[in-house]
Amino acid sequence: MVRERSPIFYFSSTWTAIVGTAAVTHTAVAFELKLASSSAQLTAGTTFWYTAEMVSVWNTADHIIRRALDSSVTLAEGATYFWSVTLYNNTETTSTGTLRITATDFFVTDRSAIALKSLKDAEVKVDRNNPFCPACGETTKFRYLVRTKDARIKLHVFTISGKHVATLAEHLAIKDVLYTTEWDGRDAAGRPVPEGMYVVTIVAGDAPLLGLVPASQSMSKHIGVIGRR
Amino acid sequence: MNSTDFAGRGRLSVVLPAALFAAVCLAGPSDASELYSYETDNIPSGVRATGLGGNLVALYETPEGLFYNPALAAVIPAPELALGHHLFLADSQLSQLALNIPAGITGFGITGKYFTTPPIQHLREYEDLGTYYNSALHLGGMAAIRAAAWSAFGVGVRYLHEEMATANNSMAVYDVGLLLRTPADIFAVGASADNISRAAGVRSGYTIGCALKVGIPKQMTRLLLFAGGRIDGETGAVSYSFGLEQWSSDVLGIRAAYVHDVRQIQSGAFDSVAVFRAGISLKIGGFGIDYGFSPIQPIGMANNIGMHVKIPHNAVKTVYEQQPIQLKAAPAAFSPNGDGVQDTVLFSHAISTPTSNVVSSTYTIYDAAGMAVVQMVSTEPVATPAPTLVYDGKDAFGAAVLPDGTYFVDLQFSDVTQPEKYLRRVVRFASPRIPFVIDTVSPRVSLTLSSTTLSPDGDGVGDRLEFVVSVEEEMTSLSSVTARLETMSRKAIRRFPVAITGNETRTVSRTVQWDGTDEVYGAVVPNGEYRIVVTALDAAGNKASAEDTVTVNVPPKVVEKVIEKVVEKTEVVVTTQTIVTTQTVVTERVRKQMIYIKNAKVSVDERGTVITYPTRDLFIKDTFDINPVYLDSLGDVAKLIREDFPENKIIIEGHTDSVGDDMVNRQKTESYAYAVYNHLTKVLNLDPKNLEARGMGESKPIGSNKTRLGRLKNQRLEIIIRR
Repeated sequence: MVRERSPIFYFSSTWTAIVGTAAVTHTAVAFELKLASSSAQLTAGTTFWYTAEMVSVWNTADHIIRRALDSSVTLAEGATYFWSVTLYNNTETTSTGTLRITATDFFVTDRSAIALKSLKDAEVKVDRNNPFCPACGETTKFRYLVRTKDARIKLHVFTISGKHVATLAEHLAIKDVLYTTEWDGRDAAGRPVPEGMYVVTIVAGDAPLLGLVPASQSMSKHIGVIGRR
Repeated sequence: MNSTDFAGRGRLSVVLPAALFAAVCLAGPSDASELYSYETDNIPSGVRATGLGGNLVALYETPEGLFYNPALAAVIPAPELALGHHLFLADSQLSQLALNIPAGITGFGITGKYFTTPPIQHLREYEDLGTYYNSALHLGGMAAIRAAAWSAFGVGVRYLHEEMATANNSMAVYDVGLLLRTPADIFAVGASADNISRAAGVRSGYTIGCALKVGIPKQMTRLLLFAGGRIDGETGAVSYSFGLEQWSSDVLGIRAAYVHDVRQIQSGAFDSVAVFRAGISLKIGGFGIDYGFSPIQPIGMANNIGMHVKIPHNAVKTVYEQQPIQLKAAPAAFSPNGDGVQDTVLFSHAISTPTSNVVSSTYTIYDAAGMAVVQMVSTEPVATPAPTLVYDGKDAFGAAVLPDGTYFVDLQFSDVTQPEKYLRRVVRFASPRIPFVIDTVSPRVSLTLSSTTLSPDGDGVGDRLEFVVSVEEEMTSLSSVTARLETMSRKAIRRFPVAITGNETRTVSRTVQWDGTDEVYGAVVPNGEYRIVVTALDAAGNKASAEDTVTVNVPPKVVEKVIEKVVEKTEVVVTTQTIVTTQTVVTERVRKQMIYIKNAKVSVDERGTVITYPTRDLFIKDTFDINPVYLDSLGDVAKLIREDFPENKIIIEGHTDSVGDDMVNRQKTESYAYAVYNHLTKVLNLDPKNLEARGMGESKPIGSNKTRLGRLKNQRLEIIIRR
């Protein structure tokens, strides 16, 4: 089940400059992605992977880059990587060359025991330690994503009888972006939950009529809590 | 059967379980987590029950109620097995079983639940160890007893076992329950307490609920309304549920429910809370299938599918019901003294429920202290109890009449039927105690006359008689007081109404006036002795009267005649300063004398002075010959005319009643008139030129021809001395 996976880079840009007193919206014609193992290396240009691409004209855009890394590049598990995106504009030039803008961010690599591949619009799976023993210091981890389109999600934990225990996540999820959250076995009030079977549920989309969530927009998985190992 | 005993047992039967229940409830909540290890115990149980929102501690139509209240084991009428399969959230499944076994006034039940999850990926860190399951097995047993027809109390024990991966847990918990219901099962209230020993990790709490059954006649429709509330024993969190179920012809049942879970709403974790439940049932004979739907916010929905089947059994079960009846005692007071007036009282009842096999109808009579003094029992079975009973006031031995006083009566009987092969139905009918009075003492009556004589001739002296009627009744009320005037031969001639007003039910005192007239003609009664009789009747039919005599004496009426006029003239000298005149003062003195004609009535009217004789007496019967007795009287008339009215015109008129032919009557009266005319002119030598005789026949009646008295009045002869 364990397999490697390429990162999905997501960025959005709004590129406006003040020329004199007028606001000028720049359009990008190309971008460049760089990947390095530290921010210093990124600044120094010591990247171990990069890609550059000409694009049709954009100005304000969200952009998702799904580009497999070169087969020569292997990301280490549990490591932090830095990446930058640079946009180029060839219609405006300065004495130093082409006008460009750069942003940087970082991500952490992690290992997963599961694959998310169902046909549902929202999916959640238990990734680590099921059942888990909070009393022994263990946590469990859930991975979830939404497909088809971006959607608001809520990630709840219920008892097996349907009582609400805790809400672990509530945010706008980007389509196809894999999210991770951990649960330490405590309820919303911070108290450790008793031993037993629980259900983790993702609900995507707006409040449904009569509280009936369409089956495709929710998924539940059992998660066991045990008192000892 | 004695109602006092029955009521006594009833009170004990409710006090005992209620006290136990209260003791359990007052144990109070403790600080604990809102979540339990044995959360599978919180999954709604029962297909029909979940469709109605749960909390069904008063639902005893199916064994599913045993999941909620162990007391129901004693009241579910027939052995029945209910199976359910619950497709719960995240593909979990819960299979359920409930079975009740009634046994006389006790009942037993078995419940079972088996819960499983689908295979769960077993992960240790990221390592895939295959799959594991979570399963739970709950087994319950309960025993209940019906302490009275309308109350039941039950206790239960449940064994809970949970398995998850390598963890196993077991626990035993105890429940108690109570059910109270009205006769005919129209309304029931149930209450239960779960896990009364507060075993850790298992939910505990108190549930109170009620069920109301409403039948719609003719529509073959039955409505069941439920309401229930549950308090979590640990956290105090409250949830309410309200359900409505409609059965058509007892075949198709649909239901809907509203669930208000305060904790879930307050958690704020949900955009909306799924509050509605629904379900449908199809029942054929003792077999039925059920479906229940319960959305669980926001996880998904739960579908409950189940069946229930009644198990044929050989033990005849007896169900008891109670029905009120209305009993009436009429009259409310009676006097068993053998006088033929209100000697008995009639007890009558009305039952709205048809009966078919009534045994031991019992009328019980209680004295004022509540002691039963007489019982009238009929043990022969009849289809319907006799609607009335006549009671003669005799004591338990049938010998003597009970002493005067206020008594109470009630009626009780049982209708015993066997509507089903193994079901015996006993409907106990009982009336409230209603009062009646035995009173053999008559009211006290007194009569006081203002005078014993009366002369109602309009002269202002002795024209009216006043008498005071005074009546007193001790036990019951007065129903009538009458005063009447009778002749000495007991012929009633006048009644005096004595109305009893609202605040005079026991004593009446009235002053009555009599002006000497009778009731029919309004005329003064003939001279003579009369009786005034006062009679009083009380509500029990006791009569009393008082009487006194009064003499009516009207002196004969006479007409005055002028016998002398003396005119005196006096001269008076009046001196006014210098003028002296003489005036004459004339004084007229008139002497009058009563005209008195023996054996005749003398009156004055517009025609003149009228002397009236009754024809029947004036003439010898069947002849026109003057009765010699009246010759003196006619002589007086002739003398009067000759001396005082010598110039006046005299008319002699004969009158009669309307009996017989008009022409004949006229001739007859004319003959009477001429007989007198001849006597006056020829024998008594009155001047015939002043006399005239006329036969008037029946043309001038002075009394009613419809009565004998009136006709006698009309048969008369009048001698009219014109003015």
